[in-house]
Amino acid sequence: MAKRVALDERVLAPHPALSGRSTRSRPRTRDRTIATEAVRSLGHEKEALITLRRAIILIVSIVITTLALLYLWQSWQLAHLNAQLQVHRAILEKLKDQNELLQFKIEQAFSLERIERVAKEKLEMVEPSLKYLTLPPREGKDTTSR
Amino acid sequence: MKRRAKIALTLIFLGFVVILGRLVEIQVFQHQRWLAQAARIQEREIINHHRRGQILDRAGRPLARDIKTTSIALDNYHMTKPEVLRKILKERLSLTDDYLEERIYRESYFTWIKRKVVPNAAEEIKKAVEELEAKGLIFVEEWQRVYPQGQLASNLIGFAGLDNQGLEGTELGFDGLLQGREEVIRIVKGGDGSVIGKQVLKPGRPGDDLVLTIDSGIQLIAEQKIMEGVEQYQAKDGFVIIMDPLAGEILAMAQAKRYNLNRFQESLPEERLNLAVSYPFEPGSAFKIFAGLAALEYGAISPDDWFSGNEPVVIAGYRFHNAMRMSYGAVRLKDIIKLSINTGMIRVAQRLGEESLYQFLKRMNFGELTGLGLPGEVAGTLRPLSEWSKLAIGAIPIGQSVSVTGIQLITAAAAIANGGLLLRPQIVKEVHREGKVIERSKPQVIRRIASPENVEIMKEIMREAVKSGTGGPAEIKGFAVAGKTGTAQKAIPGIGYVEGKYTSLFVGFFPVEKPELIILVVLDEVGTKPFWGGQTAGVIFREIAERIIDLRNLHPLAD
Repeated sequence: MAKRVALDERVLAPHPALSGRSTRSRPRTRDRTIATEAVRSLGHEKEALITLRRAIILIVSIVITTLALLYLWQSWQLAHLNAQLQVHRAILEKLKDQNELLQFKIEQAFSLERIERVAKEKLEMVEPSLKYLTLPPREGKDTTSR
Repeated sequence: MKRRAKIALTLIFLGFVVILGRLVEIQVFQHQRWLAQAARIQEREIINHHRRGQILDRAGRPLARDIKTTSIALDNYHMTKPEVLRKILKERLSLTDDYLEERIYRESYFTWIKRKVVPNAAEEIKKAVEELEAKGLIFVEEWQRVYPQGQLASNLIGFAGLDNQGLEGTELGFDGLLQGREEVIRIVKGGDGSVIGKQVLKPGRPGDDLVLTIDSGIQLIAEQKIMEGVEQYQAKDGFVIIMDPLAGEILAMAQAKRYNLNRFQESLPEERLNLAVSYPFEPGSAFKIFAGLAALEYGAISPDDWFSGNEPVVIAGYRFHNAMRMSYGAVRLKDIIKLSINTGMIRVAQRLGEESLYQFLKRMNFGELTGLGLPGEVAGTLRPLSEWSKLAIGAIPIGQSVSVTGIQLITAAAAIANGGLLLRPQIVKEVHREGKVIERSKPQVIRRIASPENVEIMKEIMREAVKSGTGGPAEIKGFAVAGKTGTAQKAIPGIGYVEGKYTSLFVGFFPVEKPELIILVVLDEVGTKPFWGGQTAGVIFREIAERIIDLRNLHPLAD
């Protein structure tokens, strides 16, 4: 038992600085006192969990974790946006290619030979022929106008 | 409880140590190995073939450009449902059963099915094979050369082959500029196959754009008129060159035989020739202007000297005659050229002498390439003086025993038109790289060929040749055309000059005071009568010139 008490004392003894008195002077009420002190000391232990130091560590950990998650999220976002960009670039390229094909078709449709063919065959136009009108010289200029 | 917690914590810690150790092993000790493996899966190097440069006319109208197409190939070893593939390809690409049978059942990882399919058709095929879950088709994006103007200037532009290399004409002659530079890119692919990163390993660029000196409107007129002329005069062939004599820029290079550049595979080799640079011919009487100018420049004659225009002239027992064996009595240089009197010109040349004549013709660059940059150009024939026969002094001044190309003849005549400066003919006006002009052509003077005074005399004589000489049909009221006709009997190797086969030509410029255009019309083997250059090529010259006058809204001057 003595041994047990000794053990309990070692385990449950409050810190002298916290209790402020000696346990050696009152051996009869020792067990109860020890228990009471233990409870008290436990209360003190609980209070110790939210010390300033621990709070700082906790906050720093949370901040680091948040930043890490933010970094991961950003990386994922970047990859996702990059992929989207590539898709849009591919679409843009395709549209450009289609545009060039259409441009070629327009140029074919407006080729000089086709325009002339349409003018002659569909619109029944004729080639111009030169006609001259000789005018008297004007203001000292010796010119002839069409 | 505490003990258990300690054990649990220890185990977790050990677990982390194991993971950390493995990470160190992977990240540090096996770094290169895993990096290489990741690269193999995620990264690929691809070669990006840039487009060929465009070919444009002087107004910026596209004559040749690239469009994106899709080529279809087959991985024969990994294909599934070959019969489904065959059905789709047959329907969508109009390919025959035999062709597909041979291609589909080959033992190969890569077999071309069809190159350069229109993108929409390729998309449809892609969708169809996906729906029917057939595998093995490979779709490769490629550039295809297309020619919006079809046949226009086909012999000049030429074409590029399946692998986008220039094969004919400007496409071949300026292939170095037109070809783009390959770009090597490393791409990084994500887990879903999408590209998440790109790195240029070797930068490339698209080919340079060429702005030609050609005016499409004038080119079309020239082509139409030479085709009509060849038909009207039942000629074997014909071509036209139109040049700005003050800049040396070619405005048109047209010929009767042409082909559709978008279907060049269907054309014949003779249709693809560019006669203006590759067809040498004897220039006949058109050469008299050069022999006459040589005589003036060397001081051998003066414009007022009189010569006998009677025939024949006998040299080493060979008789040189005038056309239709006419005699003209006493004539001056002006009459000789105006009426195209062979005997008179031979007598002028005899006074000039062989050496001076040869030196002058060399100064005109006859017998040499013009440096235009087009493939297939020939130098013509001007034999060295040491190889001249006794007949040469009779034959060469009247355009026999010498051969020229159209581009040589018009370049030399342009030197007379512009006052005596022999200019290098040019076909490329500007070179553009990525939207910026990197090269702009300027008139390149090779040399002065004669004094301005003597050139002026020759221009006046050429004006007379049109006003009241053999070039009469080329006259256009109000535009002071100057020119010279030529009708050369054709020589067949081993036979000599053949009766009834002539090259008929006319070279002329207008207005004579400040020429804007010089036009050469050449007809090969005219089948109708009369076959004279003035009455055939001269007429075509006038028709072309009138259309250009209208196109350019040129105003006539008092003449």
